[in-house]
Amino acid sequence: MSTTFDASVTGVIAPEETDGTSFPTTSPAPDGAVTPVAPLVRHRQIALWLSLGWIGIVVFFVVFAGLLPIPRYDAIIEGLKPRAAPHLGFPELLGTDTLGRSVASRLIYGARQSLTIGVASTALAMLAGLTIGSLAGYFRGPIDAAVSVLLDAILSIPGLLLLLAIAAVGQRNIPTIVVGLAILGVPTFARLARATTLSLVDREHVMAAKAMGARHHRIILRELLPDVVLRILSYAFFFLAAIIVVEASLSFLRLGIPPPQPSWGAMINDGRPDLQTHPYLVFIPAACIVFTVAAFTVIGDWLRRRFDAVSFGAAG
Amino acid sequence: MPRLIARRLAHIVLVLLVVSFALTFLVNLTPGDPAYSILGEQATDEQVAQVHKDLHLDDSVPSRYGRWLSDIGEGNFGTSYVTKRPVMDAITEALPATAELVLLTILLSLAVAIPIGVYTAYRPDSRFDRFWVLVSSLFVSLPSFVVALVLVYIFALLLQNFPIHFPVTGWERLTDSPGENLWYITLPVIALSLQQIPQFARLLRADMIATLHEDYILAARSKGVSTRRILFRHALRPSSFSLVTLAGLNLGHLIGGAVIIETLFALPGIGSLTVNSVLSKDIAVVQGVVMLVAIVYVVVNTLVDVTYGYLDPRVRVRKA
Amino acid sequence: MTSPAPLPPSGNGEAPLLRVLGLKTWFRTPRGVVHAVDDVSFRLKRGDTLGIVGESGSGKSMLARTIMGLVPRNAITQGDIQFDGRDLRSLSNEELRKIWGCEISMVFQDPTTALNPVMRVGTQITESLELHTGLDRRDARARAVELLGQVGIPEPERRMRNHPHELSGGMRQRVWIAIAIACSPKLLFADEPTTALDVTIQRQVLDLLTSLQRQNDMAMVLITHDLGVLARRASHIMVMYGGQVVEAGVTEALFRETRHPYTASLLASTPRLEHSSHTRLAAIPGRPVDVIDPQPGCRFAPRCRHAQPRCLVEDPELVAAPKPGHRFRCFYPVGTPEGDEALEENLTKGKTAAGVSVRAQTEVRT
Repeated sequence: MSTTFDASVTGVIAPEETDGTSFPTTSPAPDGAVTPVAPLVRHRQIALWLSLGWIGIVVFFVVFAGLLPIPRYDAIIEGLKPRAAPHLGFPELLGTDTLGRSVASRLIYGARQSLTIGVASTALAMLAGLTIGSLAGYFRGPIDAAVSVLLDAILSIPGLLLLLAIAAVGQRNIPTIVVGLAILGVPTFARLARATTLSLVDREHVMAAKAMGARHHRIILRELLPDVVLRILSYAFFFLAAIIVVEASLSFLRLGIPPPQPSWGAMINDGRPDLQTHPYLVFIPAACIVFTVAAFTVIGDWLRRRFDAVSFGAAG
Repeated sequence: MPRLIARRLAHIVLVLLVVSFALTFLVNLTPGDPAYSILGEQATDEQVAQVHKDLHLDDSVPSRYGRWLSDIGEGNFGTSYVTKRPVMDAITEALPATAELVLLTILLSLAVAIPIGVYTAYRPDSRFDRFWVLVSSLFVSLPSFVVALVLVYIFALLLQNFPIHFPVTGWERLTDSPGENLWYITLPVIALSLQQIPQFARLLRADMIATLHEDYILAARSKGVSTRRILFRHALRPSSFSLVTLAGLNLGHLIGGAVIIETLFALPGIGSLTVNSVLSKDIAVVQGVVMLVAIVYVVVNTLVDVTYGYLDPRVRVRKA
Repeated sequence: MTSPAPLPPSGNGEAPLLRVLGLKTWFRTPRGVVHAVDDVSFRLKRGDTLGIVGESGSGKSMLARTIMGLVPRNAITQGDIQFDGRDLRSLSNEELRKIWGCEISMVFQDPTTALNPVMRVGTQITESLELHTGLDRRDARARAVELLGQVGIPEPERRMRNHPHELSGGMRQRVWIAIAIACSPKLLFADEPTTALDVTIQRQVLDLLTSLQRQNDMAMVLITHDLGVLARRASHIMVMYGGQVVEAGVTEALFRETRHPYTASLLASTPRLEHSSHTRLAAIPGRPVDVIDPQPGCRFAPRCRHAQPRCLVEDPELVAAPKPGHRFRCFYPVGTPEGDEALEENLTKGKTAAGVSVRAQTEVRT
């Protein structure tokens, strides 16, 4: 069919009846050209700012937790009953938990744990994944095949199950959990890195470097890696969002960092018996998880649109 | 063609070997002596030594690995440290619950996602479409247990005054009491489906939109075919390949991945089994379950690939 | 707007099967308003063949789709379309659907993409039959086999179960033709039906269309970019450029007394057997115009060898030529004193008013 028209000419399923509108003889005014994209873009921008705002708040609290005038997370608050509801007067904005401890304080320290673990495992996964993936994509051959087997092995076990297995044997401390979570992410980071490496290996600047006799590691580090990292950044945020959920799930099952260290997942589990009478015990930490996950997802989405139309295909 | 099959098989076998080797290694990593988990703290040295001999815990890793592999070949996935019964028994007991949960989830999710996907592809950027994009983004961000808790809260607690109320936890076998069984499984299935539906609908929508731009849709329209028939008879099938693939993969993944939901709703499935085993340090069961899940996932994966080739006649030609 | 140009006489006093008046199809896009079809009028008698010729982007395909009513959702249409006594533009979608495939059919350019890749060939034919003729499954299938035989497909029984990718390009087009004529339509739009096919198959398909026409007394609009094809198969020809009709008339008049420079260029650029080998083809310089927010002036002026200053600022209207029914849109037409002078002037200056350089071309015998 005609190739003159651009992509805004949509499919033909429903030709609408024309009502004999008068014909524009010149271009319509800028606001008259109705493209359905406009309101959606606005929504996205609002979502992005909200997300950045939320993450900013969380990071602020996490970083300055020690300096803030809040009680310790394991201290029982005098003068307030356990399971007290949130109220706006001081001192306890968000109420107390089943043992009478400050919910606000536990949320903040729980955030510290979630974020620390999340960022650490994401970084580790990225590092390992990028290395493995780039090497596989660059050298191809048996290295690629071996890597593929390894990645598929990891992928053949559902994430939480894998973590349970690790939790069964490992110590319940931060390094173990970070490594376990990182393993979950290695396959996808590696795949992305490999795909990007494969597509970049034939580009001019790489071939030029090869022609000049640059050694392998130099090529990888200087020519390929910068591009690869940029494209993978968006997935890093998606992964971070997912990791926060997994870590919370682990704590929920009482298989995460042991108490008294607070964690959002554990807080939810603690509040479960009182769900009917004191729903906020469950839903406040749940809301924190949801907001944080959503925020990272939005940021990752924004990064994808900016830098990376290639790896993820056409925007859905 | 045979070369491709051979290569695929070799890959699968290698993958499973790697998994099983890692699992064997698992025992070595356990802090403490598994013998005490089995015998209890008061075990004598002789009893401990006996357990070590029975379970070959003193052998080297490779020989234990070899033994483990041959055992699996016979269908013996080990013996539980805690119950002393074969792991396979525990798994077969736990499987029905999980299988039912997963199957119903995928079916329900497809049943809901397909009409939504078709409609939002037919009318992209309509009010419903934009509303749906928001809603589905929301559900994608929600962890499964949050969704489950919200559901529990809403249905089980707020509706307590009504004669109909969903029991929150519990389980009846399908064979014993079908009515009760479906009652109990409704909320878990809904909770899991709310995560699957957005994925399915989004995938179908994207593929359908692309298909609707194809010439053969315009051509079908020029034949006078009705819109509904075009959407479901002409456009849906070419657009559904990715969806079917994803549904198959998720099905395989959910078998081990519904852990949280099972725990929350006290469903005696594979997930609960694993969690309990981890808590009681019953490594044998954990090993057995993970190995089985890996095998199932790999098999399902391969089946999905084969089915894809069958569904899409064009792919068949290319492979020939 | 433009005053309605004289249309070809209907002859026999018989009412035309299709009458189109002042048809316009415009699209609002982010880049501006696209004038895909701009004020097209013509008449078509039962059993007759109208040829529409033009480059891609001339609006010829969109014209066919507009008449049928198969335009995208953001299209704005205006004008009058009378088919068999009915006003097509006043019909609802449901009523239109009864006409599509039944009384008006369309054959598409690329049979590979026009057929549903995952549906069997037989089903795609019986679907049409069951929809419009009320035949039951078995009768429809029998009729479908008949149709496949009619369009010249060997072993039609076997072919019914095939998928489109199992057939050759020529066969796919025949299948689509079978689908299109399944219900004996009164009017067939053939949109570049042979462009995607091998040269050897092209003639077969065109002959098939012509014979089917004769059998069913079917009117046909044959759309193509190849003027040579229309020479023997169309009784009337319409030349389109930039969404407008630039010349139209009885085939012989168009060929013998060509008026519009674009038509002349098309004729000159068609390779002919009579030419000696290595004759340089007179290609038309420039590319087809993208008709967004057209400025005043002739749309062909940027590429026209006759272009004068007037052509750049004034819109030429359709005017009548000596032969009845022949009309064209040009200030300095070929074969007239004004036109010859204009060309002379440009040749002397070495370029047209639009700044395009001109050289003398070897005159081609028509």
